[in-house]
Amino acid sequence: MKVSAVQDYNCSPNFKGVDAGSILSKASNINSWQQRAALGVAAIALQPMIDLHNKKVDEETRKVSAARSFSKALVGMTTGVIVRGGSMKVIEGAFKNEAFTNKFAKYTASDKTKEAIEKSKDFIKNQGGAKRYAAVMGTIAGLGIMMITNFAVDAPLTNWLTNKITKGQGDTPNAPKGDN
Amino acid sequence: MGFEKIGSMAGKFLKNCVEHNSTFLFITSAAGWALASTAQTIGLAANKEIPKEEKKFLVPQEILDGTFNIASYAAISLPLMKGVEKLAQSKFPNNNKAVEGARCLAAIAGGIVSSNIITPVLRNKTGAIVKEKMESKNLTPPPAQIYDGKTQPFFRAKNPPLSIQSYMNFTKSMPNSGSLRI
Repeated sequence: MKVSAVQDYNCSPNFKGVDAGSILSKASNINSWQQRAALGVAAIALQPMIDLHNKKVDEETRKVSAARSFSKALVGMTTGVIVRGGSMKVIEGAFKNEAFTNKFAKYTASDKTKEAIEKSKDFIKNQGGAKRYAAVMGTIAGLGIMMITNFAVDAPLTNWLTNKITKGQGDTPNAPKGDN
Repeated sequence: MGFEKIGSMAGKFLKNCVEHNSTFLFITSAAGWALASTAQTIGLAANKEIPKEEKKFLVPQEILDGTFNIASYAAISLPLMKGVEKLAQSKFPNNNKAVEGARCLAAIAGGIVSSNIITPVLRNKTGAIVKEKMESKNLTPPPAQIYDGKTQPFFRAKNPPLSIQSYMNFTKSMPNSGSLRI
């Protein structure tokens, strides 16, 4: 029996290699919650590591600062993603309303001709336009919302999580009263 | 201005944002930073525990911090976006979406580098300058529990190590410091 070369079995006949063009094309639709998630993951991976390797401070401080960086990155990312993603979902839902979509298509058409308005409507309904417009409007709405959540949610949650982590490590930093 | 006119202008703006997603991501990211810095500056200016004389130094520092944050983000991201745009255009001459995608990824990469590396270094520098100027005017930098010049432990090369208490006070007093991203 003849044994074929190993490389014959390495890939399916349909495999045509990695198509960088199509990967980049998909990346053109990245929205702001995905961007925030990427920044958050990088911050979670990098900042606590930097703090833990900081030889300029004592070991206890290193641990607390790493816990703080981790908490801040995690909480900031979570609220950022939820607020942005939630705003986008709500706005995307509005496009299910025919009257809203028609009005929106009229305003986003390249000119006022019937043809242009139909083209705009088709983009919204059939070419992912609703999702993309929702991404833009959701991002803008999210910026306003996060002016509030930043202080009302991020700050207290970050402090709470930092305390939880440092207490779990056996450190008991004395938090100032009422600062949670 | 009538509703129709406003609707058309908003429509054009939104269409433009959808068509140039990478630029939109870049601008909104910078805007988030600007809003966070503005909020932080207002919070500092309104803090009654900090004397007026000290605010004369600290408020401009806060504004400078915010400006440096955005400037460093722009200084890294914009050339990177331009560079990958050219590269993608040469590799995929007829694929505008691929070019736009490359620009989007560059905007994200620029944000990662500037917020994790450049910003803390710059903040440390401005903090040190302000501290020096305050001391030359015989002003004591505010106590740690109010404001300590936003010098992060990692970059305290010339200073004695921070204690846990002062670090916790520092971080708790500055929960939304310059590294914040909305």
